[in-house]
Amino acid sequence: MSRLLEERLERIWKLYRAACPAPEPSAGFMPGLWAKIDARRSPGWLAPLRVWATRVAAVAGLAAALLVAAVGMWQPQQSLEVREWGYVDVLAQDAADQRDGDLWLLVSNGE
Amino acid sequence: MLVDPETIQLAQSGDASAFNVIVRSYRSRILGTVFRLIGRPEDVEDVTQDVFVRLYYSLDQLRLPQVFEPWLHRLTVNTTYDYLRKRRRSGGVAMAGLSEEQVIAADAAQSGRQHEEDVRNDEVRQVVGALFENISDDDRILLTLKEIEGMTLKELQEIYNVKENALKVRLFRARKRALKALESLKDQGKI
Repeated sequence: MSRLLEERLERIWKLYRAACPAPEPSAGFMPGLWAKIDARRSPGWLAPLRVWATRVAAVAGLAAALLVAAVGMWQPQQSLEVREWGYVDVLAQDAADQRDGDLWLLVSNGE
Repeated sequence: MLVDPETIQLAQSGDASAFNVIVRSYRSRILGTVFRLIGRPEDVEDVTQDVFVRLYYSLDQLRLPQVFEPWLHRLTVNTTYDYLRKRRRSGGVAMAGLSEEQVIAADAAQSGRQHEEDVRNDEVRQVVGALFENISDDDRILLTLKEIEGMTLKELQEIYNVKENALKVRLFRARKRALKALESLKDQGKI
């Protein structure tokens, strides 16, 4: 790069600094700033809604926990029952059903 | 520092009047920096307000009140980045800015209300605006802070959170790219 160009760039920076003095803030600067700050805050009507949503979520969570507990309490009894009903019992029941069926056939045929 | 650490601590604890003291102490400085960074007088106040909105919502993250100033400058740089990015995305930045300035200048010249100095300042801003459109936002901000704001290497180190050598390299490269852009504008007869 030529020295001339560098000098020109330096001159441009200098002129630019003079061409951009700090502007005076307008009368609306502070009110405008606070309006922006307030706008970024949650709106007033949203606050009770948020509280309500939090409560609903808490109740829903509690209900879900109770449901899980209830299912947990009920399931072991059921599984115990199933465990008690073993393979031999099933075979015995099946054989009993078969006998009942045969008896019913004999009765219905009038034998 | 333009405000004492106690005022900053009060503002951190949610004291609105302490925050107002900070804003009133720094707004002229930030308005000037923002003006030189974005080059558009019509947006300066809006962007400066955005800087202070960021300050309000992030003040609790500042651990040491002593490093408030570089921290505020970092917020200014970040807000300006966002503004420039948005402006670039909306497209036709340079031309829109330029034609607006030209309209203002022409209007002023016609009515004879604007001083000669104002017209010259507009021209300078147009030249620098054209130069800035041909370099990246990173280079633009870095060069503005160094060459126009006159920040020292130490101040820039605090803002960018980099080592001196890395910063010198970045500055050297940014300056080279600015010179190249200037040469290109000169060749095109735009300056």
